[in-house]
Amino acid sequence: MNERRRKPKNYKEGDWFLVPLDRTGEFAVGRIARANRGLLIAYVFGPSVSAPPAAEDLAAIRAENVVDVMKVADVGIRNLEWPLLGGLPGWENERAYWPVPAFGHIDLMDPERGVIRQLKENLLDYEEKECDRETALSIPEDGLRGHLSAERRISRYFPEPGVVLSAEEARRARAARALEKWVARWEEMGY
Amino acid sequence: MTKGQILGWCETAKKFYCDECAGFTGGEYVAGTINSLIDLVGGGLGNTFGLGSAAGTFSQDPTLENAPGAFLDAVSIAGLAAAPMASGTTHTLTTEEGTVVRTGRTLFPALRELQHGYTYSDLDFNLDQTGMSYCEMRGREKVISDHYQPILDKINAISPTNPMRQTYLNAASRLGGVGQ
Repeated sequence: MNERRRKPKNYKEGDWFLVPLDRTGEFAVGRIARANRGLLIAYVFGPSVSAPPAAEDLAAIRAENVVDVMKVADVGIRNLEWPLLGGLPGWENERAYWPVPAFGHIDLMDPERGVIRQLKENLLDYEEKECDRETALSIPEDGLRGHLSAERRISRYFPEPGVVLSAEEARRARAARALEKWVARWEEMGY
Repeated sequence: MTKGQILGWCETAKKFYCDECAGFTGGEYVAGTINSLIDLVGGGLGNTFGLGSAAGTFSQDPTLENAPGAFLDAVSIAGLAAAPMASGTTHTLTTEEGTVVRTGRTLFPALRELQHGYTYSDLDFNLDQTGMSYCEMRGREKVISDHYQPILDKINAISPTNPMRQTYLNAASRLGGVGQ
């Protein structure tokens, strides 16, 4: 049943993968830190690459240098839209250094109220606590990314080859682009 | 913020009930804490999804290979038959820019998340409020749907003729937030 949607699982925790970047035609490097039932905790790293990195380059990447970490559906990897590089020996020893982070979001109806959601290791259960808006915005954004949505989000961090923006810079750049669009629209309308 | 609790399943109305709507529909109530999908189907949910006697199969066979119905297909594939479930939850689907394009509610947030992950690859699934009673969940969905006017929401969150409408909205208003 549902074979049309579900390709066989082809990955495991600790595997490295590439995410195609629509702006540069290159790839971001990612690692599956946790995986359960189609949900992944993915760490994404820069700079962007044009070819799969060598094993020693991957081994040198540390979780602390992450560009973004997100919960994402595994569809991109299962469908081979995100090239899978495989794992390196020693993930069992490394696993503790690649934790499931706390995610934050702002309440839909109360913009001053933040919520921190700490996922359990199975990625299905969680604990929540309230916090202020700034705290919620300062940690990785809550929510499950569809893989196409994740691709676009990740692309924001890599506007051109060799350039990696921080989350804050990417947010500002996106806001600036949105403002430019609105100004252009207003000018078209004669304001 | 005080949140309610889902108390069980009303077999007559084929609906969950909480302390606010208990007794409203009358009939036979299946009370008790709902810990898993198996408990729910044992409590009558199988009939709601048109599964009939498959509910019995469900309880005994968590792999569900022979159980009909799209819902159980999804449960089976997700392997969530014995997974713990939360109480009332509302959620949104948003674009990359954060625009809310769809709202929803579920008692099975983990399952719903998985379904959306496969159905809407270009959107983000965001849990909104969790741990609500049935009435709070219905009201909250209405509140966020009215506030954001999502373009993919095809039907009213609460029918204007629903006799429980005000009860749901009153329950949601206790949750707080802008626009209450």
